[in-house]
Amino acid sequence: MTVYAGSAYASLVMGDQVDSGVYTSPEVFEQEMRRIFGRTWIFIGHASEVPNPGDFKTVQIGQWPLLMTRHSDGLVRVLFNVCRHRGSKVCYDAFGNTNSFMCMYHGWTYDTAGALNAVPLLDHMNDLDMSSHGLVKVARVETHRDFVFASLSPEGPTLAEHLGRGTYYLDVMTDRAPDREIHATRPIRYEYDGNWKLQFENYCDNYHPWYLHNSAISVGVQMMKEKYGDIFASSRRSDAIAVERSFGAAHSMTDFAGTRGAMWMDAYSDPAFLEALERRDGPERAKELLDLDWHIMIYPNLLLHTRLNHYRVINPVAVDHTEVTAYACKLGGASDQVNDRLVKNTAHHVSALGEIQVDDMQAFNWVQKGLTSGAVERVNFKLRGGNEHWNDDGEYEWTGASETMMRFQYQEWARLMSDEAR
Amino acid sequence: MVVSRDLQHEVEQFLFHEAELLENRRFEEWLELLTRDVIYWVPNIRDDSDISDEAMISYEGYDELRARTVRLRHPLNPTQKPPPRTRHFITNVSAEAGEGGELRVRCNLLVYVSKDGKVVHHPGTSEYRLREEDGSWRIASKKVYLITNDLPLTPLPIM
Repeated sequence: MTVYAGSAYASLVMGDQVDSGVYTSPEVFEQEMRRIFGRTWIFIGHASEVPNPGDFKTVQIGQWPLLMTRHSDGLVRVLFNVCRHRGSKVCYDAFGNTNSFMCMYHGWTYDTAGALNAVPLLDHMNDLDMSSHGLVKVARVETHRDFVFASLSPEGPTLAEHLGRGTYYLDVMTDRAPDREIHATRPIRYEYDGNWKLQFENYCDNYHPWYLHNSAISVGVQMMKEKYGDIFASSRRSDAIAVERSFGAAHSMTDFAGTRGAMWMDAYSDPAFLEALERRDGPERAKELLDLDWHIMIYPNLLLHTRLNHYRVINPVAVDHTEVTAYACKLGGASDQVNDRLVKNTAHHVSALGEIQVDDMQAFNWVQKGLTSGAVERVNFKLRGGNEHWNDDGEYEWTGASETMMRFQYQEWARLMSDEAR
Repeated sequence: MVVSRDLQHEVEQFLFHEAELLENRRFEEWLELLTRDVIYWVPNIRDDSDISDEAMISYEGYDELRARTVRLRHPLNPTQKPPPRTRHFITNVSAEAGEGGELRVRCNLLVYVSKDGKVVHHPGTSEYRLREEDGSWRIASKKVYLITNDLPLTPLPIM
């Protein structure tokens, strides 16, 4: 195994090529967990996953078993699901509602804010200070529009600084709901034998769909033609071209801008949805919000999809194993007809029985095997978009499919992985 | 109400036949077992999933299932390079009369999937509504509860 010393990690990134070790080296993975996931803002969950006091979910991010709760004060907290007595777990379910978390080993009991409030045989303990033995809190928790992020590092940029222009995209994702709230449903989960970055990069990658998803796209278009006539062609603007942008700390987005035609638009066929947006924002903005077709990528572990209205969380398990959790969301103020279809369309897109993500999972497995062989020393990200420039919002922007987002991600990766990075 | 021994036998043979069609990739013949208003539903996470507030692994009608079978034949479908090999084990079959002459059938299933050098298995329970059409039983609905449905999954074959 190659051993990389300190800032040598940065040298694995060579402009538009990266050393294949960034995907295959267990040592690189361990340091990524420390220097990227253990230091920057990582996405934990959406507050709507725990809508009521006492609600909780357990979530594993890297090596960290976490607990997201909503306490009786209404606030969302992120705690370690690790008992302060001897280190067992205190919460055993994926999600639920409770007044307290009792460790089943010796009965130490905590409230949903993490405070230790019962210890069997307390009188016989050597000066146990209960007030300082609550569940360990994650160093920092901040929320933007119900998107809950945590940082395991007490120091560093604020969430707003970290997200930068990302706050705007999360706002719009949320404001597509007529009552400006989205509501997560129970998650769909998938896994693959590949590095976590393969999923992040794939979601940015508009070069692959026609090849990897050829069967799904061509069969999907054929089926839609049979059912509805040629709506795909007629709704697809001939002059439309996707716009890609990179912003902030390795975040990025694609605005598909009409290039995907009516794909997944069946969910919005209830006219009441557009009418509700029109009443709120006027006809022009309402139509924009209806048609909005964005991928949003918040480094390092959050992916969002406006049209299907879901978000996905990447959980790196090992250098060659990754789990992804997808949450279909309902749009607050939209009808059941709209929301039921959104939830089904997300399943159809991302689940292990779906039609699109399964292709990507297969490719991730192939790539991981190929790179682990060592045959290819460097992976290429050479594709450039058209008219690359800085836009008025401070984003780097261009048109058409490219690998520019990945080049930005690896610049930030190299910065974070070098010792000097904060 | 428990059905007659003959009908129990008929139902079991029907389920075994369905399994054989899926194992042998005779997807077009499998489609012929379905009614046009079929609902194929693989719930997510909880066994008592309420369609109104839960996500699902799959919820498809006839058109989506037909599209699925076309995709499975497509020469550029990466998930079929090579195709997974599967075996569907069906046990604990019970049948009872349902509404409108339909049968309500419940069985356990165990699906083995071999792909890319790995074998994964998915135990679960299936619930069917079978309806008689043109003298044959057809699947009007099939709901598959996998006990693995709360785990991260790798691509599944038609269950």
